[in-house]
Amino acid sequence: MAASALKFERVTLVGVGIGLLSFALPFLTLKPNRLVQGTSFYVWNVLLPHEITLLFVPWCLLILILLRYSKHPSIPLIAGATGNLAIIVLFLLVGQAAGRLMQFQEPFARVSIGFGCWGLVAGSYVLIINGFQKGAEYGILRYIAAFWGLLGLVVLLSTGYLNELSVLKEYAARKGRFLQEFGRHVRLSGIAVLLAVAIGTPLGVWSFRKKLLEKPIFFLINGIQTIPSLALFGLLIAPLSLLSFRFPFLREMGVKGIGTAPALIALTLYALLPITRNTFTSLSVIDPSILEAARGMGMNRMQLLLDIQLPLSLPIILSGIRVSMVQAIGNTTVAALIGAGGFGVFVFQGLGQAAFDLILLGTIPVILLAIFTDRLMQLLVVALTPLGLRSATESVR
Amino acid sequence: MIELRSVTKKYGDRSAVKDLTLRITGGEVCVLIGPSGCGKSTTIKLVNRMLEPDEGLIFVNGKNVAHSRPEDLRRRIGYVIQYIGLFPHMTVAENIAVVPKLLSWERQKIAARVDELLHMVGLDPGEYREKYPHELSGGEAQRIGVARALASDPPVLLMDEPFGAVDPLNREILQAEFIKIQKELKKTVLFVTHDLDEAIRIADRVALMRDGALVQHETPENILAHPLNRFVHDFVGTDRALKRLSRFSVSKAMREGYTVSVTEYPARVEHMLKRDSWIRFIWIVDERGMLRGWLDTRDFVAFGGSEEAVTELQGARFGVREDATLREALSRMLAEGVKLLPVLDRNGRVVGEIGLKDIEKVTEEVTDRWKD
Repeated sequence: MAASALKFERVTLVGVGIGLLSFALPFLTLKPNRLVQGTSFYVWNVLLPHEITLLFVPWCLLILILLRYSKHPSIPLIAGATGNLAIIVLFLLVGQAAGRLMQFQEPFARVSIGFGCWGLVAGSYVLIINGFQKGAEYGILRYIAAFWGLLGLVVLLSTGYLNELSVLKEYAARKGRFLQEFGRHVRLSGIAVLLAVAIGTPLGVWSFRKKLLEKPIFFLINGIQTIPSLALFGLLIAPLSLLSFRFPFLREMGVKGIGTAPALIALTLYALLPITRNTFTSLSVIDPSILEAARGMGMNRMQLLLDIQLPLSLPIILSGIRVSMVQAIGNTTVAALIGAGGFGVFVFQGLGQAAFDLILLGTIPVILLAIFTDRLMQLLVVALTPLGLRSATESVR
Repeated sequence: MIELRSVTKKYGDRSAVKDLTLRITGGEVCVLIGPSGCGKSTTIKLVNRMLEPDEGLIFVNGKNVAHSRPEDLRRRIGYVIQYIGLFPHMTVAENIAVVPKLLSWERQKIAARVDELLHMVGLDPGEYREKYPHELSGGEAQRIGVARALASDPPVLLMDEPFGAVDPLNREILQAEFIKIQKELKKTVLFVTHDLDEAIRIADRVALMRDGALVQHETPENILAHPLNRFVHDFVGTDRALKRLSRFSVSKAMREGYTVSVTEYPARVEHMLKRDSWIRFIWIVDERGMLRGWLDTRDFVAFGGSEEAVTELQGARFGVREDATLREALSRMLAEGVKLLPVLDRNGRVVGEIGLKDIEKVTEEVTDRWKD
């Protein structure tokens, strides 16, 4: 009990520490246009005294929580909920300050979020995740407590309160394109994972059944995993161009050296490993006596697979799919380089133009998408775990 | 009925089972026993085709097993293994219902059967039906394993060290329950164990194996009394005479005793001694036939027929039940330091007596020699 209390204190301490240190870092940056070097503004340069006090309020609460009730199991969750409050307050004031800075500027001027702001977000994020993980016993309440701030952010964004921020200006200039790339990103990574499931699961079952195949299959897909994504995308250009040149029907189907086809192939190949490996592992760890009993009772191979092996290995296979999905969402960003689209488009445009906020416009949604997918899959894993296995799985987690 | 004719099973060059011929009569429990690696587990797996023989034929209830599809064959044969292999994602009821479902029974029939089986293995259906395997103790899980094997009421049961992973106390309870269930169901059972006491306890016949071959196939009494050779002799151990005693119940070896009711004392004793002066011990009982004490007739003479000659007993602790084994009777004699014990029925009434001599008569059947 004492050890876990100590552990909790440490994580919260880190979160609060990061947050408090961030007050000393530049809060916002003002640039005359999006390309030139900007001037840094600290909290005390852009905010009025009562605003600074307001910014401090959640963090003072957190310090109090840290000092007073460090042993109760609900405390990490309360700290997480307060972290949400800190984020809402932060962005309220960021909007305020950005508007203030932009008041006497040319239309090309840009206000970007500074290190201090990011630090406050990072500190709060540590608190939120810590609270979410340790508040497992509070059921649905922990989702509300840990993520209610998200709702606040959505409100701030949709009311245009933050529109003076540079990232949102980049967004405003590319609204249509943003939605288009969003759709492409989701489609690309989604289809790649679906293909990987369709190929990887049978591959895992197969390598489990035929021990001879296990080594070569895993040698191959482990090997693929070691190729840098950029290299793999590049490697596919030549053979696919050749194919589409030789076979016109492939060209008509849209297979080209660049674009969707090579991107899908590469993403699918990357997504294979976690799915295949988890399928193989989950089948291997099933107690042999269970299989012997099932066979001895007269199940044929299909019944054995469908009634015994798959239900028992489903949670582990789904965890593999979860890893593949998160990985694919990240990898799809790189696919923009070979013209497949996705949020990577903004990242690489931003890199080309040295426009940091444009890079952010591509990066932030990828991160959010990955986190969201991860959480959703976690819920799915729990929901699809057979009842008889649940207590065992939960004790592991 | 199970029959193996000249069955051989090879792993590479090594024969796990060599030219084995074995007949198990219907309704009998045959226990396969032998040192590790003697081929007993391989043999049992050949019967339900978990393994295929290289040579020889196997018949279950007169049908060659090779003529059925393995799945169909196994659905007609109950199978219990050491680590049970309950399916952790299914409830107890679903576990038991696996074979009936494979045989496409109706749902109501399955539900009724599940309850019936839970009753049979001594578990309350209401409490256990919806439990998951991880909520069961080792003994409970093993009971469910047996119930699951019996689900479709198969005539033949294969049990591969079923109680091997259970603690000694629970093992004895499970064995006793198995004996009880078997008495009722009369299945043809092939049972593998490496525990000789277990074999002696539950077997109708013991098949002792060595290096893949059958050495001796006999009733437990005979295998203990007349080991065929040095190997059997060493395997059954030096205390085989003692072990053998556990196969006989007191009721088989006891004889009539002399009882006198307290109310008729001492007149009736005098009368008896006048007729049969050689009588040595007389059991003194109350009007309901319950043991009250015992009388050494030599003391009776010495004390001149007074009550002091009777050794009074508190309760019915002294003596053995007629359904106890001779081994227990012998152990009681050694504990009490006597050569004669009264035999009591279930209600504690004296029904006879058993002496060390009667037990010796049984142990005398044990031979000291063997063919080599």
